[in-house]
Amino acid sequence: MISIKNLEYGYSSSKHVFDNLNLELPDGHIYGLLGKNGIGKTTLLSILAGALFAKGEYDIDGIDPRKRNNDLMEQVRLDVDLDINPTMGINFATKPQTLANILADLYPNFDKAFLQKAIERLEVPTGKRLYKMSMGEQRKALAALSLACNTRYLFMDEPTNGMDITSRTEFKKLVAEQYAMPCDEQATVDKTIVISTHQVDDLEGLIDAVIILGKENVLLCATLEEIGKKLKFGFATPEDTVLYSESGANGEECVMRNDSGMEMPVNTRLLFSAVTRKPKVILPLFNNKI
Amino acid sequence: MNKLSFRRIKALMKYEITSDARSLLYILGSLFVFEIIISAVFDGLHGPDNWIVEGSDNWIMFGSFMLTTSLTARYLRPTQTRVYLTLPGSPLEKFVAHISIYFLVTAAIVLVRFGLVELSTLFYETEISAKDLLLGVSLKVFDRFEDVWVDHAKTFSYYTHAFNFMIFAIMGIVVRRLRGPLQKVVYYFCMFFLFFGIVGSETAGLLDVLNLGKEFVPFMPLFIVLDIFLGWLLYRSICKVQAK
Amino acid sequence: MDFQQSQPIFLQIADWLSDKVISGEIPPGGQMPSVREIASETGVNPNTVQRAVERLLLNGIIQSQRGKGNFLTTDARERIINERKQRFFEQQLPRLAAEMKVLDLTLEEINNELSRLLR
Repeated sequence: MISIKNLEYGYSSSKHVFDNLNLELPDGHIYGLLGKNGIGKTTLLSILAGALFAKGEYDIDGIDPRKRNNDLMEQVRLDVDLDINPTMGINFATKPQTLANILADLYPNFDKAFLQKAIERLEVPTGKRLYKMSMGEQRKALAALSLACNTRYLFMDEPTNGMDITSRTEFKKLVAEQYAMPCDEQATVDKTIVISTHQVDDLEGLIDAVIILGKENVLLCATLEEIGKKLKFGFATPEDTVLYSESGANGEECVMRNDSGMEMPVNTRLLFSAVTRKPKVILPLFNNKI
Repeated sequence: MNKLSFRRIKALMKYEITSDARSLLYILGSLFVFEIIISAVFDGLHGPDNWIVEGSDNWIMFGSFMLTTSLTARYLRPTQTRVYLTLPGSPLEKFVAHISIYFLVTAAIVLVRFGLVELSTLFYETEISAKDLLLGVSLKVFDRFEDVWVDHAKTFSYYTHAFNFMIFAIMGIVVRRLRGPLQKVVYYFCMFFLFFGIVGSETAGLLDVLNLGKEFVPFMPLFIVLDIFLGWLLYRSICKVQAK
Repeated sequence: MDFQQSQPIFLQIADWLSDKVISGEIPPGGQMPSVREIASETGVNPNTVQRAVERLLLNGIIQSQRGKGNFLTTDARERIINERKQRFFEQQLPRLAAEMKVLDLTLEEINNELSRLLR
């Protein structure tokens, strides 16, 4: 479990990215981490992985990431979007297989067979050195490698950036398959994957819980099941209580209260708009605990 | 935890080298060229037959320590190192990995230097056939090993330790606490100082001026220990450093 | 897989699996693919797939054989077809009736057209 209390972080003393952020993520979900550009999705993942040190009480399975404890790091894999710093980006003068061998020596549950499958399905050019690949090819290579690390916690930052259409579908299937595999024979704990993204449609069906970040802290953290039981999405009839609406290509798309007691499908894109634009209307329905 | 896993150390070394191999090669290459030019300018007065010898002498120190600081500097660089910081491996293992790369590279530079020195000496001092040249190189290396090594060790102790520890201390302790433009300024200042601190003749001149010189030789072991200790301090701070 | 907006995903997966039963792709008494296989083929969250499997267990379409997996019950196909028939009468037929009213279609017109289509 990931537990975060009173998280405070700023790149400089005046600019706070997070202030009094609280979040609890039970194991056993694939979380979609959503938020506007610059809100701190990459920062949050980097903090959890121990690359950045924030103030506050936070731990993964009771271990503080700031300690950079080896037992924890072997079970946490950070897969970052290096597009932020293209010149600093991937300089690896190796081919994917060489990097795989290195990672296999570092992550005890590295799954070479799965890596082969991922490389084939994502059509990663195995003959090219990483720094010579296009951004999309690099992203696919890294995603395949990160998935193959087979860690209990996997944090992926915009993994589908630059991926072609077929690869996005294949990526989803690979994540689903990898998530279903236990880390090793004794694995008693479920895996946890957190994927930050802008393209919610890419991950439809894959994520089963959402974390929506607002300015400085968390707006919403809930499973899609809970959201689907409390809200419904689509076109409103006169009997519906509309909480939020926006114009779409086919008419007014609405977020309505779900009084039927039956779970309805969740439109993540609409949910995100509603939560970020009308938090006071939507959020009181949730208590932010999974 | 806390056991030294050599498998992990090797993996970390490979990761570090391959993740920035091109930059390392560029740094080494440009250092070499730069140093040859500097020596040609300053020491060329001794005559062209000498400048390769003098140049490579400075180059070995200059190269190896610029390499260390540039490897060190990588940890003050953004994003690319974000993943390295989160890789499995205790701070001790990461330290051993880094220092091992440093020693391996220094050793490689030493070997290249031997080669350079030998070739230049042979080229200018004798007329010799290619076959004899090869034979000559191997015999001469053994002969000169002792002389060159003793010289080199002294040079190692004077210049590098005297100034290196100061620079390492500043970098490891002070620089990591800074952020933003100030960090960059202090960092480049340290690099600049190191640059001057290590370039052979200039340093020797400075030492003479400060009346430091031969009396440093007995302190050589102490300097080595100090250097490693400060390297370790720098390492701990590296392992506590954050990605930018 | 394309997801429609009418049902939560776990129900869509349950239907997708039921379709395979109806078509005979999973033969009577045959084994259901594992959660992992379904997740891998569809890209759907394994937890969600698990819910779909539990729904099928609940509806008596599959049963669990310890250590071996989930297998179709003997009357799996009938159960699914009955459920689909019920759904048809509860959802599609009322829609047809409403449309008939709006367009003033008579039963005879519908009957003729249906007979032609069913040939």
